[in-house]
Amino acid sequence: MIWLKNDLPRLITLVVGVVVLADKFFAFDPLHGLSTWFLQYSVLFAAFAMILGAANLLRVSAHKIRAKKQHWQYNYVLMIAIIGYTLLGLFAGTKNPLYLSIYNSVYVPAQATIISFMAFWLASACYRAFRARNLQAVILLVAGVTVMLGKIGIGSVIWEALPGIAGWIQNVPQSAVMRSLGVGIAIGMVGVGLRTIVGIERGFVGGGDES
Amino acid sequence: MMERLQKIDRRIIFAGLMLMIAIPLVKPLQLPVNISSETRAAYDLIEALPSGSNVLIATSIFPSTQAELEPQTIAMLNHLVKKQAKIVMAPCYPDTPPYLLKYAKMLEDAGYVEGIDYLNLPYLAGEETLYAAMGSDFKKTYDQTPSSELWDSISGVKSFSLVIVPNGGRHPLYVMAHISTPHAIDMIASITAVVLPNVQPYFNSGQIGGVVSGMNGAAEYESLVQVPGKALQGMAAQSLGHLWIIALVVLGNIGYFATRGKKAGGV
Amino acid sequence: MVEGTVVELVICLISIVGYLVFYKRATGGDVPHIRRIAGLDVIDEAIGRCTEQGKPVHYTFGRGEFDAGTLASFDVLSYTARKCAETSTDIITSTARPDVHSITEEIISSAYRAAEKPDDYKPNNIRFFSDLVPAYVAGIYGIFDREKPGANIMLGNVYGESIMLGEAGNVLGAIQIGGASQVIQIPFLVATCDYTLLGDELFAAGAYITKEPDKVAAVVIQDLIKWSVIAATLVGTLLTTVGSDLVTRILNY
Repeated sequence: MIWLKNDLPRLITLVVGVVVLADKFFAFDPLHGLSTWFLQYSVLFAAFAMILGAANLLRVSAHKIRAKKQHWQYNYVLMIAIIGYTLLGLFAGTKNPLYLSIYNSVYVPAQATIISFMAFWLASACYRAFRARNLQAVILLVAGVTVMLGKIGIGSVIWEALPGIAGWIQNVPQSAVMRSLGVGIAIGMVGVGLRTIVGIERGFVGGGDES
Repeated sequence: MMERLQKIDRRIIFAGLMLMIAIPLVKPLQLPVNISSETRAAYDLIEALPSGSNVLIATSIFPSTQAELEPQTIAMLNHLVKKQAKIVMAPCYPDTPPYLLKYAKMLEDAGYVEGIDYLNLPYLAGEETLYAAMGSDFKKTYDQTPSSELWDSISGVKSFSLVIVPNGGRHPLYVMAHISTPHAIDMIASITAVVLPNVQPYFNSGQIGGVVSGMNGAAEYESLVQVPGKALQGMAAQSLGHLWIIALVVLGNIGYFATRGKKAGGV
Repeated sequence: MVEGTVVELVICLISIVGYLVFYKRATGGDVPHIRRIAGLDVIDEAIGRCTEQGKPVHYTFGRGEFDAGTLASFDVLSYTARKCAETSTDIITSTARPDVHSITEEIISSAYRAAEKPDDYKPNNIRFFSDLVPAYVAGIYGIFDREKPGANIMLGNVYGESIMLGEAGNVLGAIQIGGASQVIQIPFLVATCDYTLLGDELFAAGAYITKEPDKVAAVVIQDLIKWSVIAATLVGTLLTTVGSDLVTRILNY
């Protein structure tokens, strides 16, 4: 059954990849119809993958509870939250006031709290990284401070040319570097994509270079 | 003392930042807003829309990006309502639908009717694949949408005069590749500030018509449409936060140069 | 033909033909040299450090969607997992996408089998946290707090968690290797990681680590396309400066 695990996924990838890629180049209605059909089914598969993720989380939580791993009690909370909220959404609907209330009172503040860490981590990273150790570091420091000041209202109060200079830094040197990195990454992605379509890149069937 | 300037305790850094952000909440500050060319271009695109134009908002707003994207979205929705545009909102991330319910309420308060003036499409998974499917056959992708006057008037993605993409990642580039460029539809990227370097080259080359970036972009848009919102209020906090970080950087460098001089003298 | 895609199709076909030519040469023994990529050379050292300190290695693909960066990272994970298996060092992998999680389980179990230590494989060391920021970041913070990895490898479609995990790893004192398919995350990785794979070094990682002829051939053709882009940019800029839009017209054909 090795062909089911290794060869069949690669065959499906080849057929779907060639059809969708060819549709970008050739205006041919049957080809376009087939490509659209593949894309719509991949939207469905993406939705099923989410169910797979939730099922995996429940499986791991159940194992932790059975094995009484560290902090196993919290896995009960996790399971009740996943199953309870899913059932609430399914039977009461996603416009239900209780459903939305839980979303707005629990989920949104939790996410906002975690993402707010980024501001603090960024502050400490800037403090460590912006040291004028050499010429490159001085350029980084000056550019960083200029853009930070230029993007806020106080910048134009300090010096009216600051927003313009900040804009120039973003439009010229920064854009140039982002373009060059972007071209390199895009070519790399095309390379990986083509290798995946023709079956040379085997990582996604599992086993990496071991298969 | 100078050595200590180079190794300021993280707790002091964090506490100072928290204080700087909290001060404007107690004592609001009014700061000038400079309109960038990117935000001006986005404003001009919506301003140039004929009345009754169809606009697609393919949004992936979720709590982590809410602080920056929501003020932008609300400011642009206010502008679209002024232009009497027909608005179709498509959530492209699982957390987005509750936000669209909020915006739908906002539109209804402004006199919009669902099915005639605006639509909330269902969430579909897939991210880039979803945009490719939209670009390939928009109606078929959302074939479960119930019939309505607005939905029936849309034949495909070409029925839209403008696509707005509120997102904190690469989605504006996906939309550019699969929807706006192949079908020659104007596009506004409504993004978090960190994504601007990614999008800037495409704005400079004209592939993206306008960019509203971060909270300052939202504040600029709010001042252009003259409907003040959370972004204008938040700019003071952001400004003081930036100043705190710059002050720390300066202190760190003073400590670095002072100790470097001492070490050189001691050799 | 769809209007404006002729040049793209030609580039695509040249890439495929060029790849076959270089693949034939590489399998014949003429394997081109890939320049040193410090971020990948240091993986062995990082694993060695973890083995000495009795700490695990932490590996993550980032919480972004399954893309070419994630695919490229699979080869590095396979190599890292095998080395960890050989040195009896734990490897903890955090995943954010269910499809990536399934593939990760397969890669790591295969690596342990290849190292002839199938009994050492611990499926509970592959942890799915979902792609939601609080779940993913808090989950990894928990790993850093409880298990204190000696090395943190973030390679793939890394989003904004780069700064959060990078700084947390710094506080921990772990050796950090980062690489992202998202260009905008590279500055954060450079600021927080000890070693960063810049741009398309991530996509050459598989070829660099495995030295397989087919992968090395792909890197060669990628580089040749990049040289062509550089040449087209220089020629196009010069011609545009003197008022000619020849290159633009050719590319739009």
